[in-house]
Amino acid sequence: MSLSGLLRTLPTINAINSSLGSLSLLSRQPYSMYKPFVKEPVYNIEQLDKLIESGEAKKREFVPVKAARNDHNVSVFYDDLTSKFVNMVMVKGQKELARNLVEMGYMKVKQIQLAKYYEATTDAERAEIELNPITIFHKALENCSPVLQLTPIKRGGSTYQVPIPITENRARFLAMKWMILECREKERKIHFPERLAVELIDAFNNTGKVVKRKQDLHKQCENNRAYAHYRWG
Amino acid sequence: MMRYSRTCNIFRVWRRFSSISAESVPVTESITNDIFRTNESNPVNHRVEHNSRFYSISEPVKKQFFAGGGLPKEYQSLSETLNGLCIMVRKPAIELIHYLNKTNFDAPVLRYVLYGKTGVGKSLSLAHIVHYGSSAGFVLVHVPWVPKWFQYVKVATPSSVHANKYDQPIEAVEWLKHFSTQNGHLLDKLELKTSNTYTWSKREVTAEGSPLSELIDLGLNRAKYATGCIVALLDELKKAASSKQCRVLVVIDGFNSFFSRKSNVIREDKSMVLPSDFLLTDALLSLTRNDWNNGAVVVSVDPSAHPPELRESPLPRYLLGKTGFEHLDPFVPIEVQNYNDKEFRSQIDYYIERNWLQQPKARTDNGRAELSFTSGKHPYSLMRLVAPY
Repeated sequence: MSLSGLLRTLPTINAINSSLGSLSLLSRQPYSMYKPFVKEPVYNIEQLDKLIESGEAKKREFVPVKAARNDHNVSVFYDDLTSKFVNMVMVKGQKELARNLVEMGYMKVKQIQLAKYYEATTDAERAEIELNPITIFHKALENCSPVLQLTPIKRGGSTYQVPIPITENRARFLAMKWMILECREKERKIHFPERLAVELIDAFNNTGKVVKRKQDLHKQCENNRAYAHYRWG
Repeated sequence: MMRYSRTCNIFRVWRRFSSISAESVPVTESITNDIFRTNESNPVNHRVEHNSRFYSISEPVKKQFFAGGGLPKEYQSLSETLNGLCIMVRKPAIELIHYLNKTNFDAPVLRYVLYGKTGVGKSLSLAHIVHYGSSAGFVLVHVPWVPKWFQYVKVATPSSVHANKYDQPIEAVEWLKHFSTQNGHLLDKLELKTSNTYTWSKREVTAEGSPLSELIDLGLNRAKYATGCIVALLDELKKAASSKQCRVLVVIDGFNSFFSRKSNVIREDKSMVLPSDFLLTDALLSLTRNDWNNGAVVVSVDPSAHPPELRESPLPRYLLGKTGFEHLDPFVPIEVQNYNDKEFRSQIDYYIERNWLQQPKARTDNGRAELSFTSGKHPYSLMRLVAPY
């Protein structure tokens, strides 16, 4: 029986909780309700098949798995980063509104790029224009992610902004946060999706306000490199 | 083109370049081997063989017929994004074209009613018929979306022509402009004359035997009499058609709105003005009666043309109500359904070719199967699902 088939026959999290209470107690990660050995579920059917082929699936057969999340699915349109972004755009639990805003933003990205595409006259020009909104989104986030961050450290009565390394998660979070804040600014005459589209395309081309914010942070880090050793006291 | 995603899986982005030039020239001319397109841009010739194929409408034609409305807003903006208006030739339109080609114009006017759920393609079928009508030499009386006349009335004034009825001066002027743009050349050629004298006021009189264009011009210039002009114009067209001077095609989208119980106009004593209290309603109901010949009436009924409480069923008897049904009975009902497999495939092919459906995984058979399932092959749902990706 395939791993995916096995996974689908497992009981729900409530049943697991009641019968295998040992899963949901205090673990190494203080806020996680799961013990460290509980695995993340794999949703992507291609990845599941790869696990079976490579033999990984055999090792995971009797390892418990975390509960399925509402927004994870096996749709051909599912994108991890987009899902994370939608969650960050969401306010007061209005997931549908957040998702619609982001999807409208993607549509506007396509509209803007297609306008350029159909105005281009040579094949070479057309080859340069990226039309896939997801690709543009990924590249834009890459371009907006900082490489260092500043942290306040107190030494001798003064607080210094010290440059320290940044984790991948934190970098991705900052990129998304700055993007959303930028799209929410000013008089709000231009709605979120339109602003998102323009900001994404700018960031994709390594221009625009969000990339500037990242570059400003990098400059600050460079300026404060003298204090870098404060990290270790 | 090789790209590395954040999860370090390599995926290749396939790009289909269309072989057309990027000017805003109608696309059909050079593409002949795409099975979802057809070169036949004259709707008079559309037959069963053209089913589920896209035919393109050039910019000037689009401006002439649809500048005053007729294409759904989202579809129009999508067509501008995709660099050209293309309409899919589908069974309801082919059926109607076949009937209209074979009509016995000596018999009383036949009424055709397009019905179906919201978002299934009725307005676009009517747009196709509008294009057909002018290519086939009909004088077009086209009302793009009736609820606009009752739900979003800008100004309603008591009628100068008829006591107890109401005028819609702004909407009337808009419609007269739309009518004259659609039928301009044809009216000049036909040289239709009025058969009555119309006295608008002490100084403004339209004499008997004056050309219809004078009537239209009066309505365009004097908003106060615009509605009256429309009533007179439609009356004249009916008479002209019956006396074989011209052939009239009446196309109305959202016909059930005439029998609706709501409008946004409220009198001083807080009572609502019903659609049946407007003069334009009378004019169009008179035109859709089968007491004239040498023409055809194609009408659509849509749940979204009624207020939200009256949208339970898409069927004509429910939407038209007793009065409406008795008015239109007997009519030929034509159902507009969701896409069948061939039309669905054709629509996805079109989106892919126009670079609208971008996700590489969605372009596979698996992706198509998913879209077919999640949209239920419902045209509007498919459009919304494909839009962000």
